[in-house]
Amino acid sequence: MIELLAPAGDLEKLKIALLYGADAVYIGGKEFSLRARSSNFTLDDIEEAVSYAHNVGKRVYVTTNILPHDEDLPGLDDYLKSLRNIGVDAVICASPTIIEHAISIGLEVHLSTQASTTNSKAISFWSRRGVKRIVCAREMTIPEIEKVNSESNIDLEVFIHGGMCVSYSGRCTLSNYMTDRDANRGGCAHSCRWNYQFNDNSDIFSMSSKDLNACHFVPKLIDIGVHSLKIEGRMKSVYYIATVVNTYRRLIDEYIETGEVNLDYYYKELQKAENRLTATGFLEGEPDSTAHLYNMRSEKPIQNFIGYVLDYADGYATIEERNKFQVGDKAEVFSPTEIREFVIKEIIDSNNEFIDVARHPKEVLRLKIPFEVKRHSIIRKVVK
Amino acid sequence: MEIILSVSNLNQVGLDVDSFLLGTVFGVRNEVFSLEEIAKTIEKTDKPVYVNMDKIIHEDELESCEKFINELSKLDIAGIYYSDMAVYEIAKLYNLLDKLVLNQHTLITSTDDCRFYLDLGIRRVCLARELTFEEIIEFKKQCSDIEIIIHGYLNMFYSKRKTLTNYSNNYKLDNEKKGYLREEIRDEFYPVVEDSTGTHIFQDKILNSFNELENFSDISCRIDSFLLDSKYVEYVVDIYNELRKDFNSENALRKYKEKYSNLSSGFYYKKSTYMKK
Repeated sequence: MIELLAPAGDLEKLKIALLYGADAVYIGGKEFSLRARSSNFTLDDIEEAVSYAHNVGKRVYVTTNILPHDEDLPGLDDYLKSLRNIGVDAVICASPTIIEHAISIGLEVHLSTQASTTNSKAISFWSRRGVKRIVCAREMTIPEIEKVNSESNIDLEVFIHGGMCVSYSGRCTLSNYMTDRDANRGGCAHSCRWNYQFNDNSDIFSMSSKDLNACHFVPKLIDIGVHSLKIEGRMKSVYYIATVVNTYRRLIDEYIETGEVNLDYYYKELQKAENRLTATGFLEGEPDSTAHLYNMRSEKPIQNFIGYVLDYADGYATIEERNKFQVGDKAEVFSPTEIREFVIKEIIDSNNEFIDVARHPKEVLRLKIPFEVKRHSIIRKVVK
Repeated sequence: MEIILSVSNLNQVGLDVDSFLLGTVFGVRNEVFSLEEIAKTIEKTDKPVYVNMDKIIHEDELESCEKFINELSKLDIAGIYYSDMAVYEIAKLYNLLDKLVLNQHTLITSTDDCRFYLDLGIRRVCLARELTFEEIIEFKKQCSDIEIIIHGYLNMFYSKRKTLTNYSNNYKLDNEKKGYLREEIRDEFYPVVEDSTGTHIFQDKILNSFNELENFSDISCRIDSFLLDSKYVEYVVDIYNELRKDFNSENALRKYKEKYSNLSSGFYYKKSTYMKK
């Protein structure tokens, strides 16, 4: 069975990702992990995460994917042993030292995309050394993934959604040079996303690529037999995680069950998560100019996420507000198992007073909803 | 100290260095030389000739890559620079492991990782460009055979994307495959080149190691001539030779500064860390 693998920036997002349909999550610890700013998991948190996931029959992978300098390595042994003792299901690494050490103490190792693995011979090298899974380089096309999968005796993991480096992952020191922040040790300043001028042309452009959206290739990837489909975004919101994870969950399940699937529908569902411009990366071949952002704004604020359900009793849902909404708005409850519409008829604030418009994000409100909704459900405005 | 010159035209093979590195279609950021040219160069010079195959190899290139290595195995090459472990796997089949020089550009940042690769039986490992002078000296103590770039434009970006072609298509401009990038709030001009392997961006200033050279006695030192004109390369080779005779040759530095500017010390004294404090 193919695995849907989701990112989790903290324990709440981890629970949401699993609840909304991920089979496994990957998280960053305080040490040895890229995305330094999103690595919120202490060892205690990791223990809680693993215990939660294992209780519901799911898996947790921990990223230890920096390229260390000597000064980073003291503490590696203790840290990896702690992860092993906690029972994490695998570590994701790029540095041979970390890989070898993790394997030697009995941890399962997945080779990070930072290693830019693009062919079956490189895979064979790592496979002989005990690596169990390869996270494919972002630069691989569908035919390449298919060929590599048939030539190799190892599980492949493929990114299907989210941001991606415009360079080969790990082969960029723009950030190091321009800001003294080490991209391969979690400090990347995303310098490629800044504005540049090429020669004396007047157009100022960002080198950044559009985000990846591989929705249309999921059936093909399932057919090929890759082992895991991975979503990027340890920095993303609960709403984003829930929407993207659940959409891919439903897509995968429907395809496996029926052998066909309305991809345009799922594509539209994914767009509800975020208004970022997307492209298909290298999956269809070398990206052309439509895969780059240039000076297009990538992110428009998305305002359809109006609340997060904390509780439900006697016809009223207690929610935490996220974006402005008002009586009369058409909304839908989005939960791990269903999407159901209703019209907002009553909003009650914390002073128990009826209000017409909810204006204060994070405020706890009660909403009349004519059917039962579960904690962790998401309320979003229906935008036609 | 071995001084290696990566050559950008075959006339440079006459220059007074210890060995030469020739680019191939499987290398990045190099002038491409054919097997025939490589063979002729080996005949022409008594000095060791290395070849560069340091691109990231994709599945469909494995066959041609193996053919190429097979051909190289028939020549008296001194070594093969590589980045992708596919090259290692193939070289092993042709008993060429002791000729391999690992050049992963940004990846070798710890002495442990460096030793991991040396222990595989390869000849030498090139260190990441973002190491400080202090770190390089530590590598020298701990690892048997290492190489650094001592002079040239340091690369800081390797993408498979045809970024410049896409850019000119998007803005309907003539397709220029070479030029400069300038970040809007910085007055720095980063050389950028697009070739068949993708897009490469370089630091705006040329790395030099005039002051550091005397500390690099057990290190292989490469002068990277990519993007540098021939006259300049000749001049720089002379300076390093002069310095090798007398590390305190102030004269050499003064002479250089009279002719050229735009020098930098790369990451020697510029430590990059997780976050800006």
